[in-house]
Amino acid sequence: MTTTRSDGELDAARLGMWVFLATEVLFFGALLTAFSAYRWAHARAFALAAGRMRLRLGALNTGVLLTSSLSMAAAVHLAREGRARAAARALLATGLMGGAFLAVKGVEYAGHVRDGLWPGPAFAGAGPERLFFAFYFCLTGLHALHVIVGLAAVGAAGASCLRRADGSEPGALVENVGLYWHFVDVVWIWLFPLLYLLRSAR
Amino acid sequence: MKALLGTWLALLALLALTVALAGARLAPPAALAAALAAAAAKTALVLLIFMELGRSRWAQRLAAAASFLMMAILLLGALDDYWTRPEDAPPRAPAERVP
Repeated sequence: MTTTRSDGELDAARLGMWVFLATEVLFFGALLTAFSAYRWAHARAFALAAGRMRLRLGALNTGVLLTSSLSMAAAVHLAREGRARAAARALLATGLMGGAFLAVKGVEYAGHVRDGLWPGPAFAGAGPERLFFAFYFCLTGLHALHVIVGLAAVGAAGASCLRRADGSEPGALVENVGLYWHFVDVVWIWLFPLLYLLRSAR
Repeated sequence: MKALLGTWLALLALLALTVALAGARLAPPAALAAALAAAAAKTALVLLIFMELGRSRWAQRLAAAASFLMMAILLLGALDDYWTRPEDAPPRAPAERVP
């Protein structure tokens, strides 16, 4: 494998991505802090509200996202070996799983709206439960936005792999898209227990 | 590639474990501790192996560690007010303080 990029350059690119991800950690961290404070104050109502979530769909989506991280890690591995076409296929699999995640999320959202759980004036539940669903739509909506941005980035990385199918240059793009995608996975790893698992039946 | 597959299997096992625990109807503090411990374990696997922090340059590790340290300060600083309140003194609504 020949490379036109020095290792130092790749390290610098990854460091830049980590600094960006640090701002993302604090962005979601502030929201999760607010959620934790309200959950502490309204523990019973939040647990009841979480009991209205569809655990199976949430667990399915967690599995889909964890698996998409595997194919993303494989894509980075393959790109480093100069196997650009195989890397592009792994990125395609990652993108398809990201799309599947959003589709399941859409089904869930539609179900919540049908059940009257949109935190508007017609909300079907007690006050603090509405607060839970305001956080739910805010947190999962912002996360879904990150998945959409991630899908665009995965597409760009896949196109770049196909352009370099001669195996000339591993490229920082695939590496950094990988870091971003794994980070979006980590955010969901925390949203899933906080929003779905800490539940109690009515 | 084998390490990646093993990590993925461990992540799915942790997911199955947390979903099973949610059905086990643990007491709320135990359920919270179990859910957070499993999420922390999943996060460690993704960060160290998928994101390669286990063998990254020190500057990348520093940026990652600093972000989680800052978030911990934010979270603990906000919640210590709740943790340190005595059980018999629930938070008072602002209206109650009006003389």
